[in-house]
Amino acid sequence: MTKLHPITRISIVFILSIIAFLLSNIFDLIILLIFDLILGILTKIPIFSRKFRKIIIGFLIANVSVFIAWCLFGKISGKIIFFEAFIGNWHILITDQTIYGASIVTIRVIIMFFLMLFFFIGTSDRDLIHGLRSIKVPFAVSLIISITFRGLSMFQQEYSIVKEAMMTRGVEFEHASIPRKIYNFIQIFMVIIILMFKKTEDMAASIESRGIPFRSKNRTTYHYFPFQKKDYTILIGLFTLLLFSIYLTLINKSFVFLFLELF
Amino acid sequence: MSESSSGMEEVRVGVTWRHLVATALATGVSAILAIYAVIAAPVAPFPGVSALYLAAAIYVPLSLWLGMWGCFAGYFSCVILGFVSGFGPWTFFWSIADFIEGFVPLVAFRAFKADVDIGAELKRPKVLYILLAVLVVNLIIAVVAGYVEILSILWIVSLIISIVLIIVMYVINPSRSWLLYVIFGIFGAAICSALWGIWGLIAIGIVPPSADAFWVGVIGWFAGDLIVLSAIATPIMVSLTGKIKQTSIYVEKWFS
Repeated sequence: MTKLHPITRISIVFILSIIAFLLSNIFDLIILLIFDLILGILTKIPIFSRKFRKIIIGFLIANVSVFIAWCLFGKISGKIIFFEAFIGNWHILITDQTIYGASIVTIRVIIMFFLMLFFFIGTSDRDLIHGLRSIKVPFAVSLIISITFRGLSMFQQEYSIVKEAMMTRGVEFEHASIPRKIYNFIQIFMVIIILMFKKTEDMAASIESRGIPFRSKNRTTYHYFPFQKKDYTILIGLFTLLLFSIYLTLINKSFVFLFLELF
Repeated sequence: MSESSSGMEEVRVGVTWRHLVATALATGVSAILAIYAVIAAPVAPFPGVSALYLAAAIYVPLSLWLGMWGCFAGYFSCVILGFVSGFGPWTFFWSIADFIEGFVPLVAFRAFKADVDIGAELKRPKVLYILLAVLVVNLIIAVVAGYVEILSILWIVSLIISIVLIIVMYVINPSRSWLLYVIFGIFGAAICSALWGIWGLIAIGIVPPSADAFWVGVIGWFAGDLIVLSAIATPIMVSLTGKIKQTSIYVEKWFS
């Protein structure tokens, strides 16, 4: 995946996410999830390393909320009722169909999360910018996207630095009362906002001193990402899969069951 | 270009790199805060919703300082949060919630041609902050009471108290900017963003399409934003607006 054109990579993420929303059979979604994981492995991302295990486990725990939301508020009638209760006007009904519906939505979210994770890990900001430039996205837009990504990592560091500096001066973060915590956050925010404005001045002055215009038709790039045969092949394959998924949705059939019927 | 009475030329500066760079960096700051808030204080069964949405604390100040660029920063930071939360491309639709958060107070201030420096001539700030805290608690009670049918009388009472509190605030500090900030910068921004955000989650199929889910989500989102906007955004606005107005990045109109 890392050798593909950035636009092909973006297309993979977006089209597979749309397909995940079109498919409403759990087996189809599980196959899509497996395909998703294979893509990740092909990208040579160390998804089983300790660092990524932490991110993935953290996300999966947070994702339980989607499942719970559907269980508590789904109210889908089914053959087996696991739990039913009334709290005021609120009717909680957990049936086999609620669990099924909740599982479908949860798997969809997991699929989209993994697609995004693989995309962002497998794509550097330089790849993204030069990829966007190669399809004639204006230079100013590309530069702004690049600065946004830089800003993310830059302010993450600044946040830790400011917090640590405050802690070394005896400011309590962990065991502070809620009003104190809010006060501490206000202090951090103010420093970060001032830093942001300072950095904006510096960066803008740097861009302006280089004479970079907003619009420039003749601007060239050092890195060149040409569309290759494999990019075209993958894009055609993706669009075919998308059309097939739309067809399956229209005839209300599952990909797995259609496959089993054929063989 | 126009000529003033003193004979000096008033030059209106258009969009510069400063505005674009400020948008990009503000997006970075807001995105980190948004991700941190959703991880640190999530609202129980709703993904992407936080009971203490720290990013909201800078959306409103940013939109009032940077105009539309601040609103865009809010939108793009929410797009990044949506990607991290696993909403895929639908995040572009859901993130309009955070665009609205900055856009509502911006429209109000520009429409009424009010000065964004709410702390310029602040009178009796301590009393104002106490009244604001009471108003926030009262508004949260009002929204909860509005959802639970048996508490409809409480809803009416808390609504009347809110109006009275706003009038008292205006009597203590007769500032149009402060009044607009409380109504549109705190209450208006929080409620509009909560309504769109939870409706967006239902529309993209992350939250089940039920009235209970909708209102529980709206209350969580609204309360989270209200607390952050009153407790964090207000002191930031009061203390920094004057200084930021002196910089070249400050946007007087919509884009420049």
